[in-house]
Amino acid sequence: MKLLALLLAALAASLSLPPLRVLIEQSMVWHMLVQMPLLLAAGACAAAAWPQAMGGRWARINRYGLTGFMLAQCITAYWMIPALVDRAVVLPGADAAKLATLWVAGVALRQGYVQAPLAVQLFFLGYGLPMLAWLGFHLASTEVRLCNAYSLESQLRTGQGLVALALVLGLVWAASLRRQLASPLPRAAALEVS
Amino acid sequence: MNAASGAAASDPAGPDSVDPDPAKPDPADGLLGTFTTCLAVLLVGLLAIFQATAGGSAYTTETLRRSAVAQAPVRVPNFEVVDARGQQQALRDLLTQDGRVWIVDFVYTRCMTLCLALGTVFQQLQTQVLAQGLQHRVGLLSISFDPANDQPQALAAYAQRMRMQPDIWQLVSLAKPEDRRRLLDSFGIMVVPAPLGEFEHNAALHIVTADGRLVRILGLDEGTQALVLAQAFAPAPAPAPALAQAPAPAPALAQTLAQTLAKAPQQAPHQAPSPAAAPP
Repeated sequence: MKLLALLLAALAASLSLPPLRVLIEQSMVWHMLVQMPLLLAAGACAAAAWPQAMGGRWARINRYGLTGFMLAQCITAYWMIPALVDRAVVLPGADAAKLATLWVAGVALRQGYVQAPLAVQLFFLGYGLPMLAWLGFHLASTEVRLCNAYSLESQLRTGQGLVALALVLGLVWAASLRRQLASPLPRAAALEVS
Repeated sequence: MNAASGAAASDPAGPDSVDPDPAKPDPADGLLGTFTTCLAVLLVGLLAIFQATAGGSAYTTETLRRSAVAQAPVRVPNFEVVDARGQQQALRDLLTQDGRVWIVDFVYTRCMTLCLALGTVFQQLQTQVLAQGLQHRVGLLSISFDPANDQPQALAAYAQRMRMQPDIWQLVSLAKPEDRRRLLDSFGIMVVPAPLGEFEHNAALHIVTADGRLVRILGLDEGTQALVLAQAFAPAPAPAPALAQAPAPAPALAQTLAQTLAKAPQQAPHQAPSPAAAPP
């Protein structure tokens, strides 16, 4: 898992560096459907690989996974804004910020997920995934080029991909419900107490 | 790995320092901290988004560019440009030579898509300028961002195809191809390669005042408004006695319309549409 976390992070970061950077500069699909999800996955894997790294202090401000989900929600919403996607393409500083924050969002997402009772998961995913799908529908259906850095064609494909991504993530979560309901994890206990 | 764990701050509940299990300690323990942190995270997040979108008003680079220019006009940079006859001239000289306000767009002559639409918009503008007798107040300028291909003969062919009237509508290309990047950056134009060797770019109508400042950017579908705004930015016509005797109602109407239009996108202060900075 540690190896995977490092590998994913290296892969995602390499897309921002010269030989591969052309890909995210020319294709919105590579930027929003490959690099950004890779960063989230790298963060999530890192959080899973080093579960103790965050320490008790973090756990104390992340009761029910609320803070983790909130942080992930804010960061992902930020990088869904077309103007900021453009900035990440044009400004190296913005791109570096994107790499760091989306990786952190991956960590936070994982930390939120493992701590959250089902109700909290449903609340955040029930908001976040439709938001993702809505953005996808919008990108795929509008005639207006929303990112100056990308062609309309690229935007259309990205939109379709984001809708598919939202669906897949929703299905993965639904599949995890069986496992979560079968084993009364601490999160279930937490839910009962609350 | 993460900063949160690094600080050896005083933790009142010491023993649970590496215990993420929320069920063991009192569940209420840490809830206040969690809510406070959540609120802080949300605030910082909203603030960041608020700041990056001009107060939630602009979510695309194009709208940001337009509102930024409306708030703070940009001085057009100076480049050597070349026209269809092969004559070189500084862009700023061209723009400031005769007191006209310019509506500027960016094209490349091989274009089969967007620039054709732009060309049509400019053809209509040319017709309107002629019909309203505005040729001494408003000029049209197309700048090619493809200097490698758009040499004088290509420009001449395009000008003919578009039926440009040189006294109203001019077409220039960069004399030095290496200026391309700087020209596009200064106007905020992003050009991306599209299939079939074409380009896609954020096409718009740029209003440049007689003193060479980019003051407004309008959409392609706002040709009429652009013309009205350009008139509003134009210095008042010379007080020719013939005009003074017969004050036509049209300019007054145009002025009020221009003022409302100018205020609409940005709630610009009152002085914005009036050519306050025009040379005396």
